Amino acid sequence: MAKNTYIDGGTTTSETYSYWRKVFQRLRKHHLAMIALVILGLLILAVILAKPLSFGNDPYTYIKSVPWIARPELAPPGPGHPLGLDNMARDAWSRMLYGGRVSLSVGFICSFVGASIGLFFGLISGYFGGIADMLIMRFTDFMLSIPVLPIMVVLAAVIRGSLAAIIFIISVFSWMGVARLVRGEVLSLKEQEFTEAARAIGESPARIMFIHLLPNTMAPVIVASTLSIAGNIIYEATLSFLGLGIRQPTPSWGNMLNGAQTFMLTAPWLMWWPGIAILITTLAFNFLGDGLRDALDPRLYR
Amino acid sequence: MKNYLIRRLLELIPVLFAIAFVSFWLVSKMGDPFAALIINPHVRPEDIERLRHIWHWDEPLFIRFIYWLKDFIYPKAGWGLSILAPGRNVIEVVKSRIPITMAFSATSMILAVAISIPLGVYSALHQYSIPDYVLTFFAFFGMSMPTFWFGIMLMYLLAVKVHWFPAAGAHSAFLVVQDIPVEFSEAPKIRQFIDTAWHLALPIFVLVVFQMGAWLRYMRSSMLEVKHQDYVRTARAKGVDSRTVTYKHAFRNAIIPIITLIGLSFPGLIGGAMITETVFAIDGIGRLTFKAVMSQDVFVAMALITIFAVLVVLGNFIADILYAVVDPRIRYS
Repeated sequence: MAKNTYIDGGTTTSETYSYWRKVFQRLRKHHLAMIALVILGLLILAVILAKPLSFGNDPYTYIKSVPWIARPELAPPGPGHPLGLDNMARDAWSRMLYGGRVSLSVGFICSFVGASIGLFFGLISGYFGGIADMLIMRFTDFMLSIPVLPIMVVLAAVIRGSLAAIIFIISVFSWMGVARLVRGEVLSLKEQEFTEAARAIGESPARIMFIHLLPNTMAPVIVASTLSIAGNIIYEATLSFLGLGIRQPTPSWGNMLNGAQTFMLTAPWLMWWPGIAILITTLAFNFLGDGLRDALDPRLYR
Repeated sequence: MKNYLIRRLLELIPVLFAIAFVSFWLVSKMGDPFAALIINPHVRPEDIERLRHIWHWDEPLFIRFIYWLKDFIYPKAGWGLSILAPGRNVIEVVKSRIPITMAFSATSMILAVAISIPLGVYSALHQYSIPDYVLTFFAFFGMSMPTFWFGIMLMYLLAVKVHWFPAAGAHSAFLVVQDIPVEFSEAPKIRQFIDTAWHLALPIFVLVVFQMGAWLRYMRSSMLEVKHQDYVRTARAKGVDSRTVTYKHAFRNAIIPIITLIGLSFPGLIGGAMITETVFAIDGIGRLTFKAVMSQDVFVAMALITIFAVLVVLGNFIADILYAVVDPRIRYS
């Protein structure tokens, strides 16, 4: 403890370094979070290495014939095609890998965009207060009063199609929690001495907000974003399952399940793996987020 | 308190108005509600023009919205025309589907809360025990599970592989009463109830697991927090019976934040109902929303989204009020 006192004349580098190291040490004791981290690492590695891992299959190619069954459409698993072929005779395993790329990217990007919007609004709202605060918080309340899934479905039906559209639709609804969190943090941080000192030496509000306040609000934002990745992956999968998300021929774990109910009797193996992939990923992000929360705030009783 | 209530209720009006307008704008971007009539040979072009005029569809968006809102609040024209159910107005279509959604979402919510509260308390009182780990894992499982996939898998395993449950629908078309098949609506009420319950068992189970995840976590952490409070320690130090401390001092305070959260769970429940109804082909308002969006049934989609918005806003309102009622530190100013 006493090692981290301010002997080095006010620079905070060693201080910050040991803060994050302590966080990691606490996180390492959280076994489920560590398992989750390893699983996520493997998943990310797998989708990055999608090409070499897909046994020379291409997720977009219609396969003309397979030796073990007469029709290649909905063919069961066999040599070279460990998960069989889908209803358009495309290799399901390579679609899983490439679909994972899409699903994971949507999860990450939406959380990042959501956290950025939330940080921006939260900082301004908390720091300036007054009319800006009132307007932003009213807008946040308004967004929180929207029935999310029905409106997402309508939005997806209106701006149908591209990956960017889906990312936009999900991001629009994933910033409110962060905005409220950050605002709360900033309200207490701006009363503390270091903010007052920064103001006293004449630093601009923008500098105070983004250089001094922002790093101090990061801990809860990281936790909230990690948890929201899981939620966003489920949103993408749900929209794609309903046929309103990622469009064919681009694969995603959600749209691989789009026809699953139709093929339930003829090709039940097709609906197992994308769902299991989604479940494992969201479980891992939820466990990791929970572990991070404990590690970042050890005072909580959990 | 009364003034606070009135002020809060008045504050809801602009929020609802804004949500209704934004949804109206988005929904009318989906398509023209009268376009589907053009291909109908029985409808003359001048009739379509007349309908457009009656619904003020030839006027700017905002005017059109005001007229629609007026009809939504004081229904004279029944909220508009439905494309999915031609010849019936939207109010009838929506009304006939509300009971089933209400029945199964309310049941699932009550079950989820009723099961989670004792289990969450148990988890907190036996922190780091094996049952606590099992329950925690189950809670994470419920939170992480994509509802639609869980529904499909249950349907496959329990309705298709083994025929324990029906695969889809809210009730059978025919029931066998004393060896004679009769139509569902003519069967005895008790048989109707049993048949509906049997059909809704799987979707309710899906929704219960989905909601239990969050409730278990909330209850557990709320109880843990209270367990470490000073007044609980004081009560123990005074020598109050351990059971009394747990159930009178700790539990009563731990349950307060949970009760206020019920109002905030409405959006999740609406989304969950929408997905389970779609997967299990239950003709409630959730599936109707999805079908209305897919077939560009503008008036139906609009009415349903407004109903959902009212529910969510009311839920938030109830949560706020309950919070203020149960926590005397919050002032009504």
